[in-house]
Amino acid sequence: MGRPLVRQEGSMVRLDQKMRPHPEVVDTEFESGEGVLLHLESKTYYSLNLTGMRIWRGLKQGLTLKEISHNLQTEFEVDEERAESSVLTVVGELSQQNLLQTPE
Amino acid sequence: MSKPCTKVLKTDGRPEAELLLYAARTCLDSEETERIRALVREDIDWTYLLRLALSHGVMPLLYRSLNIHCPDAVPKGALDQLQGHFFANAARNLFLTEELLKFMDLLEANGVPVIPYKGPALAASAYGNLALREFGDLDILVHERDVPRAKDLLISRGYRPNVELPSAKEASYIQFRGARGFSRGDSGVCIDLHWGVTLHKKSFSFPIDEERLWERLEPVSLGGRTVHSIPPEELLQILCVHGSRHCWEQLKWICDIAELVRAHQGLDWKRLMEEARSLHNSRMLLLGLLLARDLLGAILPEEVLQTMRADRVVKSLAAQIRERIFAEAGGPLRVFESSLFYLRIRERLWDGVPDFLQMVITPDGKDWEFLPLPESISFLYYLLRPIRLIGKYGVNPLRRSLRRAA
Repeated sequence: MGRPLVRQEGSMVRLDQKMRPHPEVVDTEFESGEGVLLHLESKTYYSLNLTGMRIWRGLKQGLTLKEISHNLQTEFEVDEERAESSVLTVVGELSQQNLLQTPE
Repeated sequence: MSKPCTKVLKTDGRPEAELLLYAARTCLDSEETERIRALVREDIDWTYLLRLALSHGVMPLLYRSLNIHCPDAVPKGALDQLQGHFFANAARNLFLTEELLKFMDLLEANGVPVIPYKGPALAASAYGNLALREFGDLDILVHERDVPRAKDLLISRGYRPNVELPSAKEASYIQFRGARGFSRGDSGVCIDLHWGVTLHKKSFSFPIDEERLWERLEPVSLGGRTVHSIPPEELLQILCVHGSRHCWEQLKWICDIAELVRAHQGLDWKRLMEEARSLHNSRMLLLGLLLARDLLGAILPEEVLQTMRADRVVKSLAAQIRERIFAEAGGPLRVFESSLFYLRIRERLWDGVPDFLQMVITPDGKDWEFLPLPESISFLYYLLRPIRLIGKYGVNPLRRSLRRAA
């Protein structure tokens, strides 16, 4: 599993939470597993690597962060600590960039 | 289906053109993949390659192929540049697609049926991914009767016509032209509103049965939704007319043909060839297909290849395009060569005459800049333009073009 492209900024999210993509954000995924998110209001785009895009896909599917972490552990054969750290890192950065809605 | 023998091009003996021709495909067999891997190990001028890819509108395809097949063999600076361009293009295409879908919703909510074509619909239909095709404008087709309503809706969404017309001239513009461009300053988005599949109705005419076209629309998945667009048989013909109109100067137009053929294995070739024949559009279609085969390995049915072999002019025009497409010294076809190309690409000489005259005598902005004339004697531009062109290019290009045509 590659390192997520985005870095963690002090986030307050919990692993049992579900975070939903902002309605004004659209995305496209490439064969390489990378992808691009575009915030239509700010017209700013963000590129995500394979790990980041897997996390984004989980968020779109309405999974909890714990479930997304579990999927990463299975897909990339990494331990729980590393997978959870990656999820929190990416989600923290996505939230900071206003790419996610307020947590439920 | 026969496997084509791809003709390999080199620009002045340089491998960059050959690498670009292999990389500008979404589907490569093992032999082609090995050829890419071998080429990147040669002495590639990466600055030149990227410039070539940029000028031919195929940067996303080049990035995709190199990133999938040999990322470690590409210098980091070049790969980073390609990746940056790829992501930026993907984001812009996402933005344009959203704008297209929103405007289509607005049109349909107001009772105006609309077909998206080229741009995002083509990227989705032929390449299977929005990110793999570069496009600048959005193209939509409406019925001629709906043009005034569509124009009002564009204006309500913040668009302005690129060329303002006196209201008295609006009706004749719609009657004689096939499209009008609109732009929105705040977003930089341009929408070409079409009510005919070519820009001018009286030149480069393409007498496709547009009412039947509306009945044959096929679903395309776009931005997570299903929209209806032009079926591949008609789209191939339209793209070949468009490519011919621009003398196939950019590789991306040939890629469109190759990818559309690859993506639609069930293409009704019999219907396609029969319709092209009845519209006297076979030569333009065959030229596009021949270039897609020779340059990008498109696989064509035997009956199409046989028809190609029988058309000496198509083979000659394809050779002319292949010679010029990457030749820095040659560059795009000059105005006289383009005019002759327009005559030769037609199966009936008189079909090409309006296009020839359009190019040679119809004034454009450069003529107006060259000699501003008052409106009362503006008809003199039709005499001045050929004189200006001969003054600019001399008579030699004209002689060469005539010799080639003969």
